[in-house]
Amino acid sequence: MQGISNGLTPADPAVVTRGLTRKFGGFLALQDVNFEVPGGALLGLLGPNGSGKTTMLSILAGFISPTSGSFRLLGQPNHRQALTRTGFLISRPLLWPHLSCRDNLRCILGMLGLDSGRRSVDSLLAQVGLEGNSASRKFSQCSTGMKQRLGIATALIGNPDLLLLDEPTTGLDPEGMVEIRDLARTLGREGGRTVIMSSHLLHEVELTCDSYAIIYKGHLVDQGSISDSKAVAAAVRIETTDNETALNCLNRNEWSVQSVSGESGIAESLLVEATPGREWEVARDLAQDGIYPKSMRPVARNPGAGSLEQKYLAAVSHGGHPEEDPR
Amino acid sequence: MQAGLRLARWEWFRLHHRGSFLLLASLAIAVPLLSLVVRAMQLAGWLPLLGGSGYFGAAAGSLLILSPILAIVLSSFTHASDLQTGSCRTLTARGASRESVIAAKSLVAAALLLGFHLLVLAAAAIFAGASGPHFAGWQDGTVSVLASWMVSLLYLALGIALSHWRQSASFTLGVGLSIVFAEAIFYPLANALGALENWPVAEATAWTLWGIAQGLRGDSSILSAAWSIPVSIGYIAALAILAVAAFRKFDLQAGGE
Repeated sequence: MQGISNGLTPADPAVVTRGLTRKFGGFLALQDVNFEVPGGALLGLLGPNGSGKTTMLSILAGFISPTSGSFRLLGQPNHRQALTRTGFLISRPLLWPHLSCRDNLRCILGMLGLDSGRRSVDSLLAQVGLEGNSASRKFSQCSTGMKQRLGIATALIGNPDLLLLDEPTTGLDPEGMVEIRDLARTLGREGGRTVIMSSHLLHEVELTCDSYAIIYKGHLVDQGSISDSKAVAAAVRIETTDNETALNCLNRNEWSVQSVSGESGIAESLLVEATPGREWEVARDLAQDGIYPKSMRPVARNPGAGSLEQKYLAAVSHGGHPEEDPR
Repeated sequence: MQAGLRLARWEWFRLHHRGSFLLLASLAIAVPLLSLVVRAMQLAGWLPLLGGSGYFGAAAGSLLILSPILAIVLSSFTHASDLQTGSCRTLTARGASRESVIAAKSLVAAALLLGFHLLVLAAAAIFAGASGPHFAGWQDGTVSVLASWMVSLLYLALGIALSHWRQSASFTLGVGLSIVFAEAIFYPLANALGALENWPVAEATAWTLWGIAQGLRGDSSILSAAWSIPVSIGYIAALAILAVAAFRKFDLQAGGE
């Protein structure tokens, strides 16, 4: 892990909550949530709609107060101070419809007392791929994907150490979802930034994050590492006309790939770790190098262990209450 | 203070667009027209008590009708709708103090109202200058227009408190305008009835927003104009405290779920 910013290391929690509880009238949206997110983590906050994900993120972002319990962001006892280093994307970015993407950002930068010059604004827009004509388009005329990107650019103002993304792919088409997922991954890898991304889509969290927490009916019911669940993830067996070149190409694109040799010692096929839904990304990377697979077959690996889906179903099957001791 | 002024500058930036200019231009046309109508009604003897005499008096009479309405509409625009869809959440989520957010938006709204009142005064001066050489009634008219600005600040404070209470533009507009119209219709009737029956109704209504507004305009038998100024400042401060308390206490909706 390179350059954890502001002295935060993975050992130092970026977010700590203790007994976090929030009631809305008689409804318990969050109940006694004890939660820690290490610095530099890319965590997926999973749970069905209405489980308490947005409530949790809203408390961390200072939109709402907890009924009881406490929390700390980035090790700062002063929440407002911590918020100056925290970026937040609400599921539906709300910006001024009559202003262009560039002016929206300029205005927020100016209001926060940060450099609102064209260079700073364009640099932020470039980070989320909103350059050229897109930057001059009015917010009201932007597509959902562009609005989401601009929302993320807003969250990136001030180069925050902690990013809270509330269902960032909501309302996007599949292509847009992939783009935002890639962006979230990239942002998480930059400078050891901590990213917490809520979603109700298991595969999205699996594809984007390196750890997960499951919230169900206001309870934190499970937390763990995606790599553990990925041990069971499917792989893809690929045969091409030139497996050596394909191997180099996939290694270059950071796929976990294994060459499967026959008796002759020549690579007959390649085994690429790719969770369901990402097979096409493997094909895309190969196609960019002019390699077209003769065959691609999904292969299950470590079928005995529990996938994220199984963990999720097991967690929510307890009805949102911590597992009771049968004694 | 510095943060508040910075926020105010950028608040102006976001309001500084074609729609706002169209609104200002419409008002710039509508208010002199209304002043002319009021003046014509005064000349016809239909509105002997409204505003005063001359074009300045007509302008003051127009503001008597428009100021509270405009203040409520403006507060719903600068505060309530921005709480629903604009910068409040973004700024709060980045550690900006809620007090400075309210102060900045209020400062811009107050400045816009002052601009509007000065515009009306300028329009009255043009009409008065065109109709005769002496700018008849300009002193009283100017005082009346500035008093109307104070009245508009009173209703702006009410609108801001309503905006932060429910964070809804339609709530602010609905409740705020209902209060304005109910006051304008029922309090004069209640006062008239009280005077007939010798009930101390006027003493009670003098302390309502409408009563203080009457006092500011010099139309109250209970509150003098000089006393109405500190009283209205007190009311504005109390409503501002309520708005800040509501903004601090109530949740901001983050969407999702």
